[in-house]
Amino acid sequence: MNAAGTHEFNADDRLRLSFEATYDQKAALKHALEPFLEVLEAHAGAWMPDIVGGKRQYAYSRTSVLNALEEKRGKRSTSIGLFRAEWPSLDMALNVWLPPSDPKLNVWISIQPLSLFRESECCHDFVDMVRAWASHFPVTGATANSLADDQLADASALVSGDESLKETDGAGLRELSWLNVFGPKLVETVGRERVLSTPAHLVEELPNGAVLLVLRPTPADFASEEARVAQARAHVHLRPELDFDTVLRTLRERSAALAPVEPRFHPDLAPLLSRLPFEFAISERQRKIAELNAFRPPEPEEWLPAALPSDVENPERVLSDYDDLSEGLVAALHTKVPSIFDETPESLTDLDFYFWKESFPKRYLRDLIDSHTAPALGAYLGRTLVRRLGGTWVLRQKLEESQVRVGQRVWLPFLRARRYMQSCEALLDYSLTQFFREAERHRG
Amino acid sequence: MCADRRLHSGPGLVLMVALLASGCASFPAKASHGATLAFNPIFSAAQAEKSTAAGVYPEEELDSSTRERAAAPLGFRRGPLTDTVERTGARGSGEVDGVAFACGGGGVPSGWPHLDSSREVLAPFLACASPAEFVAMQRGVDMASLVESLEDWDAVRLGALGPLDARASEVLGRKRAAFLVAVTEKYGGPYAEVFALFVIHSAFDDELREVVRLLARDKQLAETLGGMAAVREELKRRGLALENFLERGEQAPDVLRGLGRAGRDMLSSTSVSGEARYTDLMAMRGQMPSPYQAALDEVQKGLMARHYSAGSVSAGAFDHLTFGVPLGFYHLVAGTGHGAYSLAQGKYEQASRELAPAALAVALYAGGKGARALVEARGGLRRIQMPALDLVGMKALLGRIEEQLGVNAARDLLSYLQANREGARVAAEWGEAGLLALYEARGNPAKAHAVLAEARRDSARAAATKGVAGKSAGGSALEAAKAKLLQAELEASGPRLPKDVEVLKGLAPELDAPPAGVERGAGLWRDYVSYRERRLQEIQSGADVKGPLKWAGYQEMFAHYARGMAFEKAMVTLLEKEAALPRAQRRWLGDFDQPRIETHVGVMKSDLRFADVLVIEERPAPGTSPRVETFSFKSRDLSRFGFDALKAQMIDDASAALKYYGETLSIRRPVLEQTAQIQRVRLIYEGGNLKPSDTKALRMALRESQNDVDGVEVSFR
Repeated sequence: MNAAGTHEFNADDRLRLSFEATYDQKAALKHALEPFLEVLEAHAGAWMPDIVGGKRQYAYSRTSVLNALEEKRGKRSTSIGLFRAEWPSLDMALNVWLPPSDPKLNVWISIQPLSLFRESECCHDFVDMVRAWASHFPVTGATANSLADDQLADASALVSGDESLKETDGAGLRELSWLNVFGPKLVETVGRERVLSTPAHLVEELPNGAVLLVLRPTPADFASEEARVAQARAHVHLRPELDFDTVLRTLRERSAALAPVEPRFHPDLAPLLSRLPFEFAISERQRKIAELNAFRPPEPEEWLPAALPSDVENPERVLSDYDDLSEGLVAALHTKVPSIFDETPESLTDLDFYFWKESFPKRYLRDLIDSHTAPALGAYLGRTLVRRLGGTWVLRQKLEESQVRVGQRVWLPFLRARRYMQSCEALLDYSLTQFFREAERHRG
Repeated sequence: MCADRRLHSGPGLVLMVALLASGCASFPAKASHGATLAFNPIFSAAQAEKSTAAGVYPEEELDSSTRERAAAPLGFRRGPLTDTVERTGARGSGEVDGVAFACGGGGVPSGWPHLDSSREVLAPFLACASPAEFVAMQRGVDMASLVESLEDWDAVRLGALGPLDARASEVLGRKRAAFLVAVTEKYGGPYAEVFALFVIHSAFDDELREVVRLLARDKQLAETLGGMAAVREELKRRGLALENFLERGEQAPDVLRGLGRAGRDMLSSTSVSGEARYTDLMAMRGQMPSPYQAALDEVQKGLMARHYSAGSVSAGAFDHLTFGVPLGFYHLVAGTGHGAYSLAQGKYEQASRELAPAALAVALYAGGKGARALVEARGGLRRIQMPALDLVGMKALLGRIEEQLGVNAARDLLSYLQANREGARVAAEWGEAGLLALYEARGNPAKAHAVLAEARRDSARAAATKGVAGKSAGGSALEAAKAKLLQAELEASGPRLPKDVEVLKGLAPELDAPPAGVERGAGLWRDYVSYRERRLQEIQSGADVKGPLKWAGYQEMFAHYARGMAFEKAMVTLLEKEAALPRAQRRWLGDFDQPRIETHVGVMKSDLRFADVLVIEERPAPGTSPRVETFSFKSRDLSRFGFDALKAQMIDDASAALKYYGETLSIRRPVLEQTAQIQRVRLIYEGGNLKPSDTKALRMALRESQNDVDGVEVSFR
């Protein structure tokens, strides 16, 4: 799969192509696919796949592609994945339908980052590749567009929910992409004349009656004003029932949703909050940043000006119990949160992130959380205060009264942990990260 | 097999023993507490009483025509259970073939439960001596239809016997609400209040909420329960404040309607003089446990002396029956026949003197082996069951429970039992083991099922190899939970130990020595120990299994599994709601006229599997077989799958769904038993964060996978 290295899976926009065509099922697969691979090799350039995913992974070669297709042969189709070990990342799949299914050849390409296509050469190559494929394999349809823009289109489409999974069957035209191949059927539906006179960067007839339509020189600037106007013009041309101003307004709204918002997070929480936006779809990210900018957690109240006197008889025993609890947390989470061994403020932030991302308080069983997770977390939090801020335990029989003295104040880690685990919202309101920072500040 | 060995492996294994013992009806008696109880001295005497009682039904239950009919097969009804079942079959009455167990050691009238008289349909259930028996008797009977066929009052009485299945409980809710409206109308508030208390006491919290909701929906709340002080108090105690169920915009016409009702109240309450009405009231009185009878008498006296005032019902009448405990008491005080009645009465009084009411109710549920064992025992041992009035046994049982769970256990357990029907059902199904599991799960029935699933696996497997699976595949939630857990283990990607017998023996986890941070006696650790032992045996016997998961992996697997169960539950609720919509508005069930939704249905193709949901047409066109569709739910994180991996996973899941739940299958659940052509299999993935965020990729991958697996519709929720 994608070996995107240090890059966030979700961080950058992608260019995705779906290409659907037919091929000659009578010919041997090797011969049928040779032109396909030839074209790929000639035009992929910077994003050329180097890994073939069959039952195992192989280095890319035409032979390994054919072998992988052979070993993955199913009842009615075969398919392989094509990837890259390095950045830019690639998620590509070649799907070949076998008799008795229709002779379909469906290709999926998803290239990250989209910014790769700021280079006009890269775009040329990409368009040339699609043209060459479409000329060789009778094409039924293709589109290539930004992921973020498609997500916004899905969100603002009239149909919602699962309906969006249903195909419109090429019968009607819903949204235009940066690159579009209208299959012969769609061309007839819309009207050949109309399609060919679309105001666009490139309009070409293909051998099987399909039409290649590329709106702009590059897909990367899709959200620019210029691009939006061009998109609106083409839309209205192809669907005369649409109103230009309305379409343009919708498109501008999409751009607005993507306009970068400067992160200005609460300073204590910045290490945590700055990671959250990447967990949302690109199209939602900026809005989330704005929301998180506005987020101000309550000041931690889990502290006392003076310690309750210790009321345990055997402090060593109690401490060793706490260590066990904390150890349990480390054992359970170390694969998910490797930094948990360190007991540093960064470990706490990683834990915050993990629990938030898992929607832990919501998804896991409440009694499990209350009886296992929260106490273990309290012990871990307390240990971290002791270890990193030079705190000392003041133990109480009741877990939630047990305290760690740091400077003038005593802190209540178990209480904090319990509040923290109450709900998903509480994870941010009562974050471990902020608790630590606050204690650090009052170290005196 | 393994059970024997495990029994001797340590004193901390009491729970495990109980779990194992409950699962295995043919378990040697000497080996478990539960089984020992079954043979204690009081057993035979009480048993004798009971069968006499069952042979001669309480007079008021049957009209003369039934008595004749009942008399004819009397010979059959006295015999032990095993005979009964066979002979009822031999008698050639097709309808009762599905009855797995008949209470009171008797059979059921010919043609039951399709009888004209509501009372006759109800009568056989009244012979049940415990909730466990009551649940056992429901096996193989379409309880929802049965409850539907009952008159409201009979349904209310049925509901007092113990937990029903979900569908039947829903019907019961409607009947209870209707009954409350009718009884208030007919006899007026003061009398109705006693009946309302009877309904409240015999309903589980979740059922109760539904009844109140129904009344509120029909704007009947204020006119019925709303006016009853004792009832309001009691509802509040059960966590149901009527204020939260405000009726939709009370308006003038409603108020007038209420006034009209109040006028009738005055008439009907002060003189229940109408001959027929009085007779009816007295008949109903006779069919309630004695404390309620006394309460009715008190109301009558009060009304006659004209010093009745609202709220005076509760005070004196229920003194000796601690409020709100009688779930199952019905069996003690009314469930036994005439012959045993006085004995029961005496025992009951003795019992309530010696055991706190909470303990008593708990003992009733946990007594004996649970419904499951009752049904499975046929053909095996003789009837093993603790009679309801076995005080010695009850006390011993409570002693054990307290020893294991602490002195407050009975009170907690009662609250779990009372809180929801499903929880009570777990206890009734599994007896003591179920109760312990429920405690362990803090009243969460799904979790309790999971706990039982883990502990039960061995015995279930043994049964399966003996070919019993086909027969006993009633498709209980538990067996399905078990199957799902098995699947989850298989798919778990967590770290595993090597498949090496010596290594595994060396590293065998100990029950009393959980890893740091795990509470001693924690349920999941216990499950894990049992899992490791079982896996070791499987490896030793050369089974084709993976090495066992490490503890961390096991915890993760279990959490994931619990998540899946939660998704499944949400989907079932959704489907049930949808089934109630007009056809055009349904998203999943559009091809049904009247869909009937069944969960965890055992279906057989190459092997036995449990369909998460099976939907069957209740009103098929004449001459056609009913439409059947199956649903499979998956909670998988697909959000980061690449295209090819996504497609491959969908194909795998869809193929499995088709293989197990598609094409032609034989449905094993007794009520539905048939060979069915499955018109459609739906595979539904959990959506939200778990779904790939690139819908274009998803759409294409879906189409690709649908080409490969025909006949399965894949979608996301």
